[in-house]
Amino acid sequence: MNITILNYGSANYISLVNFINNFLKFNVKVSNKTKDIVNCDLLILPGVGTFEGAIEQLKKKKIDKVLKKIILEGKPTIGICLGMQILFEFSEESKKNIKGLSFIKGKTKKLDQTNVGWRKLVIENKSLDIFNNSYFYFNHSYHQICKKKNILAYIKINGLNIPAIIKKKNIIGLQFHPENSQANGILLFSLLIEQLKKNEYN
Amino acid sequence: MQKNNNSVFNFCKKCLYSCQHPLGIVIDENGICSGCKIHEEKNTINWNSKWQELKKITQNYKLKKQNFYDCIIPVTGANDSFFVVHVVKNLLKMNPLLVCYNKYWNTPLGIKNLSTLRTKFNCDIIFQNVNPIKVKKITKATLYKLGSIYWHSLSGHTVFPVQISISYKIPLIIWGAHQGLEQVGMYSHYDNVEMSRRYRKNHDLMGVEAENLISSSDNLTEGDIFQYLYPDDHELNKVGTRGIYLGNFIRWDVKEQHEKMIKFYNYKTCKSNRTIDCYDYVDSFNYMNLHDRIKLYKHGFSKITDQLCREIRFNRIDRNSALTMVKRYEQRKSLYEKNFCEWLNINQKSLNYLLDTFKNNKFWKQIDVTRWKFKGLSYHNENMILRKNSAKLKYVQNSKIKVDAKYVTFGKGIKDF
Amino acid sequence: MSIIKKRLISVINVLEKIAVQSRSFNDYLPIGSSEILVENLSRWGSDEILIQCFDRSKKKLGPNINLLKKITNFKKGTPLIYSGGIRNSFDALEIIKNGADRIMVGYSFFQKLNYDNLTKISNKIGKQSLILSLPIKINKNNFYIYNYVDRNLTDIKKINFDNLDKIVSEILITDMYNEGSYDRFDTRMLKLANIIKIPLIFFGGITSQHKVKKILSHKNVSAVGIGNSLNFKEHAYQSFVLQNRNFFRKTSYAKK
Repeated sequence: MNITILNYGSANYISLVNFINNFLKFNVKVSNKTKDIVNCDLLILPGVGTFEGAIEQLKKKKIDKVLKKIILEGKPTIGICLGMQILFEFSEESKKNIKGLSFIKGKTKKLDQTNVGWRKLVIENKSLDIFNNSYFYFNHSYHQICKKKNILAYIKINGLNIPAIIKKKNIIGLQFHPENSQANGILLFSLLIEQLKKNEYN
Repeated sequence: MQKNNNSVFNFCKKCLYSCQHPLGIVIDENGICSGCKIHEEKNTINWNSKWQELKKITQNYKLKKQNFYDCIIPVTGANDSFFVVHVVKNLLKMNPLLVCYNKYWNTPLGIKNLSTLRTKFNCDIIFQNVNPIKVKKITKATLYKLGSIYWHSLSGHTVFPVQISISYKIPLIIWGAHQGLEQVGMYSHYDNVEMSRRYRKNHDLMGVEAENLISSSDNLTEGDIFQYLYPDDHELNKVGTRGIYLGNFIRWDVKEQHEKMIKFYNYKTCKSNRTIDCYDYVDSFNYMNLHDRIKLYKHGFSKITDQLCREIRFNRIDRNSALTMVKRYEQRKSLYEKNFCEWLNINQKSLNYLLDTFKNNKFWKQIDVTRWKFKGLSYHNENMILRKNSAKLKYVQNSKIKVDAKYVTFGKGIKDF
Repeated sequence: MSIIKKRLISVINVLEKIAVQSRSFNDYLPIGSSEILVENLSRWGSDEILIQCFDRSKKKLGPNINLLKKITNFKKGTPLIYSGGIRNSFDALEIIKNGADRIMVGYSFFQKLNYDNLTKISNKIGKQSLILSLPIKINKNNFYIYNYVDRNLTDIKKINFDNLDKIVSEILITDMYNEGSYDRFDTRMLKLANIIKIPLIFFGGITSQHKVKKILSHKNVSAVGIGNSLNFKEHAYQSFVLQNRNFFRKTSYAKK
């Protein structure tokens, strides 16, 4: 399997690359070249930095148009943390009110306090049942608001249900960092890739 | 703080160590190293209360009925084996199971000493004899990749007791002194440091565990190295395996302890060509010979420096005399290399050529193809008036190893001793 | 109803090239290789690992990127926080690019360059990835921040924490005096959790269950750090978690 991690600025690619190389043994490259985006079996949008910074980088390199085309055509895509946020329409993080890639309906809202730490997943989707009450590492200041049908799992913070795993057809969004979630991260990530390969739409 | 400049060696003012120590060392702004500083604790600790602490810890592992072993003691035919068994059997009144990893380069003295351990202390012992073909294969790999012949022995000696602990369900393993604490003050005596897989990988195995050997070597497979694999955390936790060091609870003085063991239990000792000590490594043909030569190449100092640093700290020799001794002994010939070459089936010339590639250029300057200049620790140490050894340091030698002696690969046991 | 779990952060102090045991950041004992420590802590299931290359700023050396590059191969899925020698936002980016997940900026940086430069870093890498380190000394019941590079003390009342709230996600408070001791962490430090809104991490001489309970019971404290004692025993991390199991995520004992 050939994986391309999209290069769009200030991100920690090494953790993700090592994670995939060491544990999943797939071919992985970090790139923003059109051919790598188009030809890969799985596209990953990683996440560190800011919403505006990321969108601006994508527009500058004209990658946003390429993404719009191939993702809508069905390219299996996983967005992690910020990489997930940009898949949506709006974000409170953007003071200039810049629009996201808008693949999934919904927006990003600011949390009262940054959510850092290991949180238990509440699984809504049967295919991921083994991960119910498993811990994953979260580190974010914003959260998603979207349709219930798109939410495969969430976490409870201060009475709020925050989406943790979002899915729409060939696109999966992860609010947590699987590459920082030790054994659970490896298992879940492999399972999600398997599901995307088999095109499981629930 | 530490002045760590390649052209300038920063030395401890008290002992002979420099900031270049393979275990890591810290030299403070007064010029005293962490090893000497921690050694000073030996003179201020209340050893009585430490002994009570040890009794309390071991009490929890004693069995009501003496129908099984309550602890494991890793032994060799040398080092602190006698003293540890003496403390555990005679003073703590426990029922230990002795375990010994066979390194194959055993001297007749080592075999005799092991025999004594069983008979004079009345202990059961389990030996691990890994198939010698595998051992040679591994040793060739570690020699070429790491410049180490001793990897298999260190690896086996430190993992075999843990494996036995798990299979026999005996949680407590009792070791003698903690090498990091004794040499470079890695821990305080008050930390009560215990055995860990991490320490073993970092300092016993030079950062290379058995798993890492397969990936870095072309012809080693899992079948070759599985005996050297550390049990996983799950198993360790299930049994509650734990390794304590007597050196945290007893004022550890190796020379004094050896001399007691010679007197009371006839521990066999003999002279060595590359050191004045007659006690520590009598069981091995290679530790104070080929292995010691390699140490000098890689680290710029050899075992005699370690032993004399110890004696300096016990105020049994002064720094100047110690340096004199080091300079006298560390370049001496390494013996029994012919035996090693025969055992491993390599050529002495090839061995020498290979070992030259492991000479650390911080300590060895190549003059031409065959000549090197040694610029190790003793070379850089302050210029002093070299004196003869003050007669205080004496060692008891009660045995000999013949020049033409051969490896005793399997000890059959000795009738009279 | 599940309680939000707090974190147990493993702290590795690095002096020059080796990891060390530290006592009051004044006295050091060598431990060994940071990479092997990281690998081990990761196998033990550490919530996060903090690498403090604490001598870099004083020696004006910048971040230890070489060490970070080595460590990245060993961290095996565990979040890594890097601290030591950060001079500007370029350094911060370099650190993130080379494998750290979060960075911690020392007080000497903040004191010299104030809020603007810290804001620059926060804007580049995101507030969630930025922690501020405040080493604290208590004198006559007043709290002072200790700058060990310039060796001065600042009254904590001079800091505008409302401003900082927009820039950093957490603050690490180190009990300078008791750092490296067996459980002598000064619980008076907990008063800071009342004054400062930003979530706090406490570090320095925390070893007993009693102290951990007292510290983590406070709503505004998100984590504790432990250092030296992690090196004394096998499974030291798990023992710590078990001692305080209601605060921390379940222990893990890796199977082959």
